[in-house]
Amino acid sequence: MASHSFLWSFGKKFFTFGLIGLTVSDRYASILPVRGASMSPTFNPRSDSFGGSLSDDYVLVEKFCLEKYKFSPGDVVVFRSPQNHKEKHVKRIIGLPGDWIGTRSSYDIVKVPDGHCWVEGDNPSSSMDSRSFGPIPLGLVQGRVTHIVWPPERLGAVKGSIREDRLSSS
Amino acid sequence: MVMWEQILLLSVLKRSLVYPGENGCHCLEDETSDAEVFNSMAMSCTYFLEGTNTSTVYEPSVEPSTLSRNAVVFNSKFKLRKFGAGGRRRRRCDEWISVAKEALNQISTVARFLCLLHVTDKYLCSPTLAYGPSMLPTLNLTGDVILSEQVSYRLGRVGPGDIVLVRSPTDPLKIVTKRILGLEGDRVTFYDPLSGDICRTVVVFKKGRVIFLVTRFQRGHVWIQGDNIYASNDSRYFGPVPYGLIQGKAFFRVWPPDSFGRLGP
Repeated sequence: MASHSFLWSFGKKFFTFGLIGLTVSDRYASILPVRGASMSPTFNPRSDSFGGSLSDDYVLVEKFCLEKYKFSPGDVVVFRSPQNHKEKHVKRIIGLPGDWIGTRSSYDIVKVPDGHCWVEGDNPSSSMDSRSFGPIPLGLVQGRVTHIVWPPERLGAVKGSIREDRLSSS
Repeated sequence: MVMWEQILLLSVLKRSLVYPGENGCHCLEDETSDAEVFNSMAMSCTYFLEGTNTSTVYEPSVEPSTLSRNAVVFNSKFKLRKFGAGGRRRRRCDEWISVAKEALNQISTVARFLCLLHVTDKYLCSPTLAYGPSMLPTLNLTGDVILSEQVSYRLGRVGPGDIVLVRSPTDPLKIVTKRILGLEGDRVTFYDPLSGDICRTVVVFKKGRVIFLVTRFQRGHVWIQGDNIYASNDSRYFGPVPYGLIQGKAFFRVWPPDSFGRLGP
């Protein structure tokens, strides 16, 4: 009987903490691992070692930006992949609605439509981004990356800067 | 027998010795342990209990009058400490602490309730007010309250014909209600408002092949369209939308009451 009540109270606590954790991670902030080398100088700089999950960076993602969907160029955002809704990608916003973006492969200039943004990885050689699937709707964005929290030696804020050659002239 | 009486007496005494006096609060000194109290009690108890009716014994022993300002009781066997102004302060402090605890309890209850609300709203089922002309034969112009569930789109179980809530690709703050007409690989025929009275057929993104003319197509998109083809801003204008923009599937209408019931294909 004692074990029964213990299980019950444990289950209740577990449920409560799950509820609170889910709410906080949905509405305020959460921590996500970054896999792959597409953001290489910023996250996972030692990408060539393929050390597995041990060398992955963990980042803090804040969700307050989702109330207004206000972003500035250079923000690193997490968004659902437009091709597969189960995947989430981390990329840097290059262009916002109304900006003109020059794609590097073909020399066209694309205007970012309303409610969309142009995202690119920091490592152009191994990044699947707007250059292959075009601008993405802002509604897919799930949060903005503000800090790296793991590994401890790289703890710090993420800088919102665009590399020189990607600056768009609008 | 006597033993039990003693224990009873002890418990009564220990409880009733702490009582508020005129000048503050008298209470047993903390370092007087139970054993001490018990031992010192034993003699007097047995004395009292012998040949006496037990119910009368306890009353005089804890009479408030025996607690003087200097607090000597029971032949000075119990030391009593008197709290003056400090005691009052301490009592007020205790009151504040208990009030704060109560408030904290209430707040945590409310917070837990809000969390439950959020999780239900986000992962299970939520009410939505849908208005506007774009779904006209199905949903009214003035505003229907519909229930949408968030389970089936997470499991990938939405199909052609379902009414879904989609975050608008042109304005991320707006959520629109539309009907899914085609998933990946489906062939969709629609009346094209951009090029006059022409019916056009598109295949919604066969894997890897680009078929839609306006935008490039990828996998994982759906074709959404309003039921009112003359007044609906939908996939015919902005092309298929990513599946990730779907926010829920409408399955039940609550208001107005005369059309209460299931919604669906």
